[in-house]
Amino acid sequence: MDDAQIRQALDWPADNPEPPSAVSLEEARTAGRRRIRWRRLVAVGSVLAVSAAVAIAFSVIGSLGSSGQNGRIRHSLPTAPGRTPHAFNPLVPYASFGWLPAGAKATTFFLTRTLVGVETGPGRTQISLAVHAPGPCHLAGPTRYRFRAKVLRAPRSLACLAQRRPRVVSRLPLTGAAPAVRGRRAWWSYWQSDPGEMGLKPTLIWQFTPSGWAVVSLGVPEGGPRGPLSSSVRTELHKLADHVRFGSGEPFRYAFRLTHVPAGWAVLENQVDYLAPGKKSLEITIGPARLSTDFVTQPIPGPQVDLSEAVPWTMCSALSKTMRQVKLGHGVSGTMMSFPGGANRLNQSLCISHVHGIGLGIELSSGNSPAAVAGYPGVIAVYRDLQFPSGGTSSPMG
Amino acid sequence: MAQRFGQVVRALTGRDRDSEFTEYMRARLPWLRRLAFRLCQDWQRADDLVQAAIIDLYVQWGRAAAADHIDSYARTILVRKYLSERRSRWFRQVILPGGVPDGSGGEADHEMALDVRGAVAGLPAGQRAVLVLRYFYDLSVEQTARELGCSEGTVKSQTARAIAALRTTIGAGLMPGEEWR
Repeated sequence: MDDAQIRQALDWPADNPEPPSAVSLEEARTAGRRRIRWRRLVAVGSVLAVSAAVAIAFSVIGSLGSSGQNGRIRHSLPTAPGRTPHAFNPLVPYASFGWLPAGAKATTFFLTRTLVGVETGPGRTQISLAVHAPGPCHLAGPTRYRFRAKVLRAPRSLACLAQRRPRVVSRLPLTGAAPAVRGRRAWWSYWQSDPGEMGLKPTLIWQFTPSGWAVVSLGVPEGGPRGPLSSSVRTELHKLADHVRFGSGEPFRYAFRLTHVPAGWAVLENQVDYLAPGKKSLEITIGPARLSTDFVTQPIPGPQVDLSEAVPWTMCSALSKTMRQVKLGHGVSGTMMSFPGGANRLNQSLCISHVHGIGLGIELSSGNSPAAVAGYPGVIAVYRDLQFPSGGTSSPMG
Repeated sequence: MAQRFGQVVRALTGRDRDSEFTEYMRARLPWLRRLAFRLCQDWQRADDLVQAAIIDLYVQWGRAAAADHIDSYARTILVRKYLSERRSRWFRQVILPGGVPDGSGGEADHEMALDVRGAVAGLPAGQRAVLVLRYFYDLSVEQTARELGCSEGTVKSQTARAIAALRTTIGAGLMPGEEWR
């Protein structure tokens, strides 16, 4: 046996007929864009993992801070006109753009119990809005902290804790005071959408309620990474912020209703993407929800169920075709994957290409809890608890 | 200047990511599929693997495009995706083909080659990945370690184990004077 024989053994494609490719570039682009948006909105990733370490360092050696503010600044605030809920309903967007430039349209909504994220289509004109419920965010003063045996400086910033573990912190540096937004104090800022200085996007932050924060960003980097913003950009940011609507908006329409939701469970996350006129995909995650004092809705990994709805062509194809096919009755069949996970733990996924005109994905993970605690014996049981009201519903749970 | 402008355009529009990515994938998709096939030895799984890997590639396109060799970057993503899927929860339910995949072997096939292929099919994922990178793509120990994200010692030991397993399986030893690379 020599190198050539090994090489030949590894070269099966050379002497086997190559079947047509099932790889979809369009699907990869769509999924990639969605992941990028998620990363931006959820604020997770390696960069923020570093931030997490920084946050720990803050709490340990906060006394090093130059102003002794220990990362928190308090000012008197004007009274908020309306009452802001302590936690949002992820099924209904609490905030929305009241004005957008011509041609721009909100295409992505990412909703959790503590965050409302709205974005227009990607590209040069992409505009992002993030509204944080009271609690997870606070102003952090300029301070010094110790990281890997070095003392570093952190600028004054808006620091927001992630909803779930790991408890990463995203920070938006405050570069200067901005004119008030509807009487609420505001700051100019920038956030980094991509690695590199030119990925810095002009941003306006304002405190829309005593402990709730809103952030609007433009997709056009302006004047260099930290240079002054042009008056047109400032004007546009202010116009966007002035017109943001707060309060429960129009609920989305869902193709399904889950008739049985375990006691103590609630919707944790909801992402809605408008792919094309009349076509949208959405993904709802439900699980035990208890908004604790530190704004974590559930320990990780906890039991949860993901329900995904999409137009048929965007579902299922990413799953391996070697999984088990299951018949679900009424001419519906799906692809199922499961494994026990040990100690009665359960992880299952069911993908249905066509049911009532949509593609449907159901994923069940019992996390560290036994399956019985997760409230469902399996994904097929979840499917059996689904109804598909004609014309859809705005109440997909219960 | 042109490079700087390219970076600016990329950062400004995000549209460049799409066009560059699409152009690259149109040219290199067959190559990636064949690499995936060499790793998992099943065309359907190869397509699934490529689909998952190119989503990562799209997300990391800024870094990939700035790399010296995009192919190397893409190959690293694919191989690591392959190894991580082998370790991930879903892989455990997948029933792999038990032996050499079906299909005509062509005239180049002969008994020895089939023996080696069957033996390669039985190797653990990590050892198979090492063989593919070292023997098919002629990467050095150092390059292979970088692509797999492991130490050079691990690459050497995985190579040695893979060859030993092949030798045991097909009952043939190395020729005198031959060394493990």
